[in-house]
Amino acid sequence: MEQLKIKDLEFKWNGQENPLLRIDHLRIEKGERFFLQGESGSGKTSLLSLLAGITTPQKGAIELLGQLINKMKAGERDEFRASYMGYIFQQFNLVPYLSVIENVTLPCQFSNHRNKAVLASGSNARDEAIRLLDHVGLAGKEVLHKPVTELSMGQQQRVAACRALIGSPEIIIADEPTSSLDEKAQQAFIRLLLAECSANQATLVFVSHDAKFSHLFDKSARLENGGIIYTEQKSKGGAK
Amino acid sequence: MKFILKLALKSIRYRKATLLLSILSISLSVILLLGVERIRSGIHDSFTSTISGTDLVVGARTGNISLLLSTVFHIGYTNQNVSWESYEAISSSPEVSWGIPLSLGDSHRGFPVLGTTADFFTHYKYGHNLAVQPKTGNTNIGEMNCVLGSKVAKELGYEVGDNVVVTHGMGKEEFMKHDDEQFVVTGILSSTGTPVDQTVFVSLFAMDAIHSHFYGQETEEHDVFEDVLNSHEGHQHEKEPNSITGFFMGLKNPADILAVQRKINNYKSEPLTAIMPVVTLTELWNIVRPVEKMLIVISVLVLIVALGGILATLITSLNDRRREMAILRSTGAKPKHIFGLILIETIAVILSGILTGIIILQAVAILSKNLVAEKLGLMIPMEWFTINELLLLFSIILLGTLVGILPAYQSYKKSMSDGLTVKK
Repeated sequence: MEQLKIKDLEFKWNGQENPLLRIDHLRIEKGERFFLQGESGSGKTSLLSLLAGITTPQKGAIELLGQLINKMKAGERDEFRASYMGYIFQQFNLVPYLSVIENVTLPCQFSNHRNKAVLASGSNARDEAIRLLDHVGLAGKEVLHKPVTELSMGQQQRVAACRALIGSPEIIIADEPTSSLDEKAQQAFIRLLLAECSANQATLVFVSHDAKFSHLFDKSARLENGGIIYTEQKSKGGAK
Repeated sequence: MKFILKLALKSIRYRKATLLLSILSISLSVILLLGVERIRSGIHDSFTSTISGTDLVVGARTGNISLLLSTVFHIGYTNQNVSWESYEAISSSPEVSWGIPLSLGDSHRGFPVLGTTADFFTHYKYGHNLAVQPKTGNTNIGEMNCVLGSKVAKELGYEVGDNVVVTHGMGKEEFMKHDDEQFVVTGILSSTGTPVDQTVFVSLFAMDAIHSHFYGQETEEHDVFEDVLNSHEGHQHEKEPNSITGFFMGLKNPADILAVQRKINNYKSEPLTAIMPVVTLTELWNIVRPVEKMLIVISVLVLIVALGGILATLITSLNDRRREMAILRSTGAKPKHIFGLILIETIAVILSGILTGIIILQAVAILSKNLVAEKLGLMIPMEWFTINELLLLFSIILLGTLVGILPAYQSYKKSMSDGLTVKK
């Protein structure tokens, strides 16, 4: 069953003449780990904004979890994002004035759905945050009590991953989450993220300008001139 | 929204170094605004209650304000006097409860000398019906005794038992000295914040005796001291003066005030003016009202400047916070949450500024209360907020909220267009 489907999409920002994105067809299956490579200026940011429901396309349809999010109102899209999506930024992912645990539990504060999902698993937001942090090796007291601004880049990204994963959202979007890390840390982070997504049965959309880790994913594609070009495919997961 | 409140408070704590300046500038303008208002109302209250309990002030025909100035504030001269006969006649009329004769015109080293009777200390009231009390000694102004207002004693360094020489005329230039007429200080009054503080009180009869002596109205040469003492000890009858500057009057029934006033103003045997001191005090106060308004306007301007400063700080900081907003949005915050966050932060900063201001103001007011009362003779009201002050506080909060809406709306807009993209 596909979890993300794009059809005949055309998108341009206000004032632009030619469409920035023109995607005839894109499908990502449930639990699939999808790698999307794109140089800067390839329309990567726009595509992520569309997937996250911040903007809507002028033409075509975006279907997430079977729902047409381009038909939703802004508030509904916000709600949808909060409930079903975890988002990891390139860097500086954390709210500086919140503790590590508060950062991780943020989605439970804004989304009832995510909070309920945590409670349904027999835990609570705080314990779930500690469990996730423990998984990524950050549950030590010296980390938990540190101001988030004093964590290393790698630690910050791992905290961000925990936040994206809390409440088991169906879709995780990672926007160049490793670009601020050194190579060794990059690979470790990607492996960790892949493992956690598998454990949560989350669909992962991983975006990077650097194709060198694409072999770790189930499926990969390249964004070029506003269009999607499928590259290699491993016969694994729900990929078709 | 509860979570947004928590978020806002944490954010403020994180930014406290920057926000402290904003809080401080708000609290300073609150101190200024409330302080000016409090001092203004303090001055107004103490001014309009310079004299209380006195129903009518009577003097020779003149303007209301000049009569008030000369009799109550001891400022300026009266050209005409009131004859003793008129005083006696009026003060013994059935409606009148008491009368205090006043004789002015002499001074002691720049301080006015008031010749009056012991009744002054019984009936003269100021503030909320406060009597003039001696701080040391007593208020006996019989014979050649005198009683000093607190400021006179303090500035001239007199103590009970000292001798005081009275000069004719007002002012420091002692162009006519009643050289040998020495008074003995029997009492020093407590500070009242009224012209009483700057007055030397002597007996009306002693004063008149000096004048008679000095101006040679008495043909025989004799010692005034003895004269006064004799008249006192002798037949319990003090020689009445021919005329006085004016007199204070209390009526038995306040409902008679207007009728008595009219009667005095139409007095047949001599042209007189009677005023209700409260009314004339208010008239006098209205003269300085524009200054009062100006003070308020200036402090409101200071407040606006402070709020403008906060606005500038907030708007500058918003740009640095776009990433934070994107993070919050990515975790599910809606634009309305962002709006609420910024608005709550602004209001919280303004409220803490107001609170700090109030605390500092109250502390300063309590600590300096005695000092202000003593040095300035001003009783700054210490009770909880007056309606005026509450109105001011309310408008500060309202203005502050309005100021908060602008950056909140801006970040609301920005968080819509920025979405999850963060330009570093």
